[in-house]
Amino acid sequence: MKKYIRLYYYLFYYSLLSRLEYRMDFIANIIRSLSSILVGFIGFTVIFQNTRYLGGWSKEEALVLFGIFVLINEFWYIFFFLNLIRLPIYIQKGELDGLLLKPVSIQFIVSFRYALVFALPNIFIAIFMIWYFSQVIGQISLMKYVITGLFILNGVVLLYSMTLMLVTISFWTVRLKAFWEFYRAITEGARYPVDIFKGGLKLFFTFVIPIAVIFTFPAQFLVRDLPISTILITFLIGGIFLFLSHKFFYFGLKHYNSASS
Amino acid sequence: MSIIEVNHLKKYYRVHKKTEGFKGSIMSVFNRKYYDVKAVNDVSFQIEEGELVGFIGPNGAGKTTTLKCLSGLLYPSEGKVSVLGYTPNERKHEYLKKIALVMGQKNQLWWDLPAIESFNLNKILYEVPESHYKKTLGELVELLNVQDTLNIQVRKLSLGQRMKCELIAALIHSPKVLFLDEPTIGLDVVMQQNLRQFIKGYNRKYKATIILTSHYMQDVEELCKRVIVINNGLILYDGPLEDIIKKYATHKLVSVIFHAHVSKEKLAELGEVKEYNFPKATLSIPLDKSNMVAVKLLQDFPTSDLNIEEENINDIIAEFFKKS
Amino acid sequence: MFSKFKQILSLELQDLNEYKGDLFIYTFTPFILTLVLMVVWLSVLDFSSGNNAEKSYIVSYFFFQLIVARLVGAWHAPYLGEKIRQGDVSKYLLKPASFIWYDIAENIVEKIWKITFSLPLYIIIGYFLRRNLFISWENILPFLVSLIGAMIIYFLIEHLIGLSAFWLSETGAIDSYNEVFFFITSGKLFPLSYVTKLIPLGVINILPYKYMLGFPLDVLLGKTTGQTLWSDFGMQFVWVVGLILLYKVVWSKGLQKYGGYGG
Repeated sequence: MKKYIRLYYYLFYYSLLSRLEYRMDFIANIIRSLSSILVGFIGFTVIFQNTRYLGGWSKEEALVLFGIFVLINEFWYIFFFLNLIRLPIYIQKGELDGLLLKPVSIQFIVSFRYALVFALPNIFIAIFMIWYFSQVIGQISLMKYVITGLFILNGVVLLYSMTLMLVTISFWTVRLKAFWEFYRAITEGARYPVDIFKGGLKLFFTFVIPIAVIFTFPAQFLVRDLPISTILITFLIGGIFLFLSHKFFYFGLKHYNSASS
Repeated sequence: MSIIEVNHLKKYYRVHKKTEGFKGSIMSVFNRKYYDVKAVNDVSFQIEEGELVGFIGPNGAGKTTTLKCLSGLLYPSEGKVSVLGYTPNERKHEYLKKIALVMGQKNQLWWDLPAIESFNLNKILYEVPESHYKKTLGELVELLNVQDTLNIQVRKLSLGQRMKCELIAALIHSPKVLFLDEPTIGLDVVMQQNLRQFIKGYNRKYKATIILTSHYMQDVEELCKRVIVINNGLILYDGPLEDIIKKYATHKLVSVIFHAHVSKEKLAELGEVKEYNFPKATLSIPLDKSNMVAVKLLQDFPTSDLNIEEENINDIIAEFFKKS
Repeated sequence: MFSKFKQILSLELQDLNEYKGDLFIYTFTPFILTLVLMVVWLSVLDFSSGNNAEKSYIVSYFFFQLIVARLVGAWHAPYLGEKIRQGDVSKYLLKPASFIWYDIAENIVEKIWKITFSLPLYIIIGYFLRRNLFISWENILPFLVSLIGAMIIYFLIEHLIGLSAFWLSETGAIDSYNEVFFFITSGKLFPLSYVTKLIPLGVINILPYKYMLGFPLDVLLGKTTGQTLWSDFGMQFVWVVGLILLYKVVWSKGLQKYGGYGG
């Protein structure tokens, strides 16, 4: 365990170092990340100049959700995105073999190898947004923040698991670029309270592509309310998906180990 | 027990039979026909600690597949493999810490960072104790003579320097067993020589067991006392290199230096002219005739110097394959 | 010229043929942003309490945005930047005028393809929304004119960003700024008539982005009429002319700088 922590410290540190080599690029990327939050924020401001409630959520509530959305999204983006989508490339270029020879969990290496550090400022901004706007709404206990933190972690875990399962498919087929387009598109909707969708669409986004579970529920827990059963089920789903994706990944790996030449 | 034990190793790949034409494509959706490619088809051998063994064979002979089975990257279809007492494909971390597989020019160094950082990362990955790391690093750096390159970004290094640093990264954990797959491919003559020297030195110093695959005969000639010749997934020969030469050499190379001009056609009457570059020439003469030809050259030709050598290993092996 | 067209056409065909599976995803996903926005703004209006005219406006606005955005779009800045950095520009030093026509041709061909592939989706989505779709038929002609202006402005801005590669090693930053302004002031995220206090109207009217998307849409839907119509057209025209002039200056300056490298 200690080894993995130490390992990750260095992986993160080296990612930072190597990105800093390209100073201009680094700064440009930071600006790009920040501007995406800016645009989102302005979008919400314009929306709430024209209404008091969006899907039943007030401005502060929606902005807390937006903050949570950014936090989860950035977390995923920084730590997992770049790594998981590389799996098909590792397979194609034969680099996976080099990784398989290392005395370390292959899932760990594939998931955590690089960190997209320039998106870090967004995390701080997101945390600030969540804290600020939730405070505006009312007194919220520290306990609630802590549990929301766990909720957010759960959302990240869910995202990670789903992505891992998707990426594991590349052990058999190897072309997945389009799915990332799809994910990006989905996240356009995830920043809004899932309640703006009516009926069938709402069910779809709760159960099929669970953006509600990942993004809306934590916000709902923090600044509105969420029945305990829903809370428990959410964490349960997170755990199940993590387990399933882990098994599936190693299943795919076994196939690779029998078939590659 | 030997360090490496391979018993009746077999490795097959399932491949779809590709059917021609439109009708074939439709049919193949319903009734996929497979056939097995036997990459390794019953291979057995044992290797002791400290041996430097060469695997030779043409492309597709099964060399790389065997190495991958030995390092744990592939599951054998049949048979048993044991290295250092471990079953490689279980990929136990304890096992992986003791071996290294170096395949051609695959790189693992971080491009934008100094090589030393990549070494450090491997140190952590392989859990090498600090003192041991420092010692090994120092020795390797000296063996390869790269003291000045450690703190320069890898992208700024020359190909030769980079290759040396890749080697250090691959060996920083002092593996007991080394699998080298075509290590000299793509390198120029000087670098090939350097690399061979290094491998020899490493084998001697650390008593590491090394399996080397190559289709450059110079690699094998210089490094390996023992060779395993493999083709079509089967072992054709396993034993000392010089025995192959003695047994299967069919020709001798006679090289001459002339002090007056001799026509190529006249030389060709004696035997196959391998090289003709006045005043030098080299002839390939069947074993039983080589002495007679040598005498003829000395008597009937303006020869000022003559030398009889073993046939080129490349040719010997080529003959060997032709015969099998 | 036409043979060049055909050449590009066949290249595109080959490209698209290889990635048929991806094609669906690439065609469909840009729709999702716009459709989500439609849902968001409908929710804002909370149409269940009435006001069908507004509801129809929102539905039509975002539905036609799907089509208009495809029609006016250009996205060749990164490729252009690469071409310049790789030095593929040298052959055009002698015939500078022809360079941009290649990009224009490529742009038109890609648009034709994208629209053709999107056609089934347009029809399906349009069918579901048909009760709320409308256009202002008497504004069709002005709409088409504004569309052409929008295409030119969009293309030239993309092109100029690409040309900045003559001076900058990294066009990503400019691209980002451009994108931010575009999203906020063009009418992509929200119909411009809904912006009240946050962004000064003056800024929106002066910047070119409105005339790339929001303006043609509002003409089509009959939201812009009378005096405003004329002043907006005027502004669009100013931008078209201004950008063409700017392009000519930047292109020749760029070539000069480029030629100075012993090309």
